[in-house]
Amino acid sequence: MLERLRVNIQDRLYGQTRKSLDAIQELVEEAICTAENNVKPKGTYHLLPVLNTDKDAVQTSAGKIQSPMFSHLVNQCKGERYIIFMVVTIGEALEEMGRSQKGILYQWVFDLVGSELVELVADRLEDQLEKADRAGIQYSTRFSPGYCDWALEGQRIIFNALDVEKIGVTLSSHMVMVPEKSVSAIKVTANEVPFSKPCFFCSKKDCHWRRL
Amino acid sequence: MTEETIILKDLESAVLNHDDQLLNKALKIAIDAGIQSVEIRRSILGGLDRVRRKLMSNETSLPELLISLDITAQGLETLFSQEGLTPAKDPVSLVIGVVEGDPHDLGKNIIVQIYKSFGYEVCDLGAQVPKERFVKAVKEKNARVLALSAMMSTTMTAMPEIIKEARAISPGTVILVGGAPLDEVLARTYGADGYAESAVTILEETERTITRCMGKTK
Repeated sequence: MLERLRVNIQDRLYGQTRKSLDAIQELVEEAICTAENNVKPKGTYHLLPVLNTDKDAVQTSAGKIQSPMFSHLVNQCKGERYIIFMVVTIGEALEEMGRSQKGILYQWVFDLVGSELVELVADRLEDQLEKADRAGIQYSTRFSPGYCDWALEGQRIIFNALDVEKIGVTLSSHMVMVPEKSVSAIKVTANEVPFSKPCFFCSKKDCHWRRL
Repeated sequence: MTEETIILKDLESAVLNHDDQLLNKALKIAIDAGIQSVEIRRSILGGLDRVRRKLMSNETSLPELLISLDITAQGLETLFSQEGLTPAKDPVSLVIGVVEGDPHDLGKNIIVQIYKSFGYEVCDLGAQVPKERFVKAVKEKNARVLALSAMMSTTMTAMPEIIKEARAISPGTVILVGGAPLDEVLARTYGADGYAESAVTILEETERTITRCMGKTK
């Protein structure tokens, strides 16, 4: 995973810097070493059946997922439909190191490495889920509160569905996860998932988060 | 070119080219040579401003600005740790913080460093700051500027109340808002005087807003 992290960070940096600056590279390596020695990623997930859907929302026993786009995606699925709720975290080690009084670049690099790492941890959990599960079952990609048309308040449903405290993650009254470097998401799984993400039928072509 | 001009050029170039060794060397020579601190500071900030302007025209990157910011902070700290030297006359007093419930302070920290470098007297309240602390700090610091940051749609909604109470207690304070979910329209709706779009344009926006507000009160 750390090699993938190095590659992702380089991609991000080359998007921003025209040349590889030694000062930045050294800090990136320091942050990655800190991650290697101090970060213990944790994750949890749970499946719940889809109880019913309408054009705006998907109902589960954990609550109603109020997102017309996700609901449309679920409505295209065939067979028994389940929602996978998932949360992963890399804890606070990188965050705390970044906040030490070593300058703003230091904090920025540690933040960047933490953000990339927690996304990779979420990718890894998705891979494991998909590999370990039944043959012939399909999955959407992950969909998180605060993105697309799903309000951040959707965090509450994910936290209803999971025992998130066992991995040391809590949710504030403002829907902020602590530790900050955590990812919460849902996926739909069914015999047939014709669209893996709402972007396929979304008309917002200039969306920053469009994944096509 | 005089020796003083060469030293001052070196200072500017050190910040522009992220060369902390050159900065330390040129700074020592400048201080030993008795060059006025105001000139030294102007050169260091000249370098930082060039990096900032390069970023405005996409000729450089944010991490490169951050390196220059760190070098600038280090240089100014060394300069003003010398006995008898002070950063600026009549600095603009500014209170800044991230609103309650929002822990995202990286953007705010970058802004703080820019303000400090360019001579603002900054009272940084940190992240997750309750309304009462903003209002108290505006009053106690007699703040010319109040800068509010929020990175989430669930936390930015705290801004209108803070702005209303800060205005009531200090009508002359100029209020700026910034952060990912905000834009100029929201800033106006919330009652702010200005919208700070990015670290690159923060100085111009602050100065423009102060000038505009001064015009209104005349």
